[in-house]
Amino acid sequence: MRRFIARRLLASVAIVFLAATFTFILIHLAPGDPFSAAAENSRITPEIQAQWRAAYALDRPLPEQYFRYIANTAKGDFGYSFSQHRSVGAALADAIPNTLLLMGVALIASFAIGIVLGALQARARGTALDRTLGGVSLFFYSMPDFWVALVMLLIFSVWLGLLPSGGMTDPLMYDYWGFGRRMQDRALHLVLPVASFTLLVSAAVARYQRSAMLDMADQDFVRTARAKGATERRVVVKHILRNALLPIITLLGLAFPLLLGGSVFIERIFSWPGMGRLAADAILTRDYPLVMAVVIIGSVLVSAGNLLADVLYAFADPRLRRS
Amino acid sequence: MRVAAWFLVIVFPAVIVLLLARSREVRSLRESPWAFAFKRLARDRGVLVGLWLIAVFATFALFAPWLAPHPPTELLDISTLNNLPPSSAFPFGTDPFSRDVLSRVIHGSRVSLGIALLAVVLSITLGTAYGAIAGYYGGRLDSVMMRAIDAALSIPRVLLLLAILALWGRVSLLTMVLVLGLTGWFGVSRIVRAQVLVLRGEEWALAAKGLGARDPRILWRHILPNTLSPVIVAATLGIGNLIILEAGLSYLGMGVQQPIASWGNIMQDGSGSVATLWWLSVFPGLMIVLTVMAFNVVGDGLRDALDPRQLPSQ
Repeated sequence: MRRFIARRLLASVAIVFLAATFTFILIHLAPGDPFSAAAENSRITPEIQAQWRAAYALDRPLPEQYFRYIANTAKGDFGYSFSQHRSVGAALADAIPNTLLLMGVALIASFAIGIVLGALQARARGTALDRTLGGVSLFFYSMPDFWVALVMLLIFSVWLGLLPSGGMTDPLMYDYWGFGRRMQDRALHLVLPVASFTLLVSAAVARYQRSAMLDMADQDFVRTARAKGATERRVVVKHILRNALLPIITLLGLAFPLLLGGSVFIERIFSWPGMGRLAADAILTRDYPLVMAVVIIGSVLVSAGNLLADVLYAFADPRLRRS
Repeated sequence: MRVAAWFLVIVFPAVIVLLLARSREVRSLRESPWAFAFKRLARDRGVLVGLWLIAVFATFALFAPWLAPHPPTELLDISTLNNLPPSSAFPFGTDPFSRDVLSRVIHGSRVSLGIALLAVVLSITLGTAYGAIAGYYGGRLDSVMMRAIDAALSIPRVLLLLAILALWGRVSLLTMVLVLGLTGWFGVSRIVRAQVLVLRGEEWALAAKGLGARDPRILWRHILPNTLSPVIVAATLGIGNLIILEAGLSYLGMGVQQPIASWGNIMQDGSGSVATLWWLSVFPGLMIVLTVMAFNVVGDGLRDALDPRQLPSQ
């Protein structure tokens, strides 16, 4: 097992390195650079632009820039963000906790709701309940994330006026409130983005969980349990559900990158200052160092999610542990 | 005239789908696996509704100019007919430039469906070719090719697309198709590679080789036809995914450009004032949900129908 993990870790490092190299080439092939937008300002002469480029070593040959970047990144230095006017590390340190909060709550809710719904459906296989829940989850599963966010915003914030429309806290009053009121304000701001996200992901989890349960329901050990006279409830919870949670691990691994990577659209619509919004802003302002950092983090998370799923799988399934 | 056209749009696909549904009655054990799969598909009522919806949207796309009450880019009257809420004259309202939103949605189905369809064809072709080569030749070539796929899949697709589109600036429809297709084939290549890896060791594949068939012929005539089922399912589900991606990029203003209408960029016209111009976000979004749902239902149905475990034993 330890050797397996070590080998996978090495492979992951190679994958992240490849992804970073690919992105570096891609963004430097594109026309323009972080300072080309400033050329529209007539007071910024070509000489000033050249000075800026020299200051950030953007005038060096590409291979040199590349090796410089790799060397700095390996030391943990992601460089300086042109659009945020501070180090990339500082920008990331602000955004990551916000995304972690939003996605942590949303993913826990999604998996809890999705697993329960999927299990209910599988138990009532073929009935009106199963078909209705299946139709509803398919409906939500087919929605674009930004559209769900827009409609939630319209209904609950604009038309009903129940919830704040965006941001993490009240822009005016937050600083004057006491601790209890502040927590309440933060919770209220969380509701809409979390709910938008949960609608989509829990629908996906429910669909997955239902088919995993149905795969298990035909297995020999389930028939054995029934033949021994176990109650239906015991068969479903102890035998089917427990085994059907195994494939969910794969889904957890796939969802892992969202935890820190966030969602570009939902964060943008609810003005949530997290990683998704940071990523979109970085790309729009051609902020090379920030784009690179966001992509590298994304690729690390995807690799980590895959590795995590494999390890968890081996941990949960004794048949895999032995081999 | 227009009423007759609308009637045809709804009824004509329904008749075709019902005819399809009737064909499921005929049964014979000597049918090909494809015919059998097709009948299983037609037995599912949800799939029939999905097929009908797809047919309706396809008709929208094909006959857009005859169905839309106005040309999609016509400014009706910028000072009096702009930002009108839905009414009997303009069922989906009008946008800030006084264009009829219903007409734009109908014409948008051309762009949104067309881009998704072409991009899926491109990515399926690329993914199949790449996966087939990696799986058939195996060994070191395979592991190098698949590590590259691992790396490509580890970059979040939305970020990759945003980076390409934002850095290269204004894009044409053709570029949209290319960009979406070129970033969408990694998953398909994994599916095909896994299949080919198994199939190349089958006796009939070895027999073909023994008879002196060359590699391209074995791949094309013998192995690839057997990988079709999962690829068809992936393609069907992929169309829904691409419609959502295209809409998202256009919503951010980085996909389909004005004045061409796509479902995503109609929403972008209303993105600055969601609260007051809600009809610009709600109606195109509903179209997307219905279309994607239809493709998902049919994709799920295809997965069940093409499952080889359910073919009749000889």
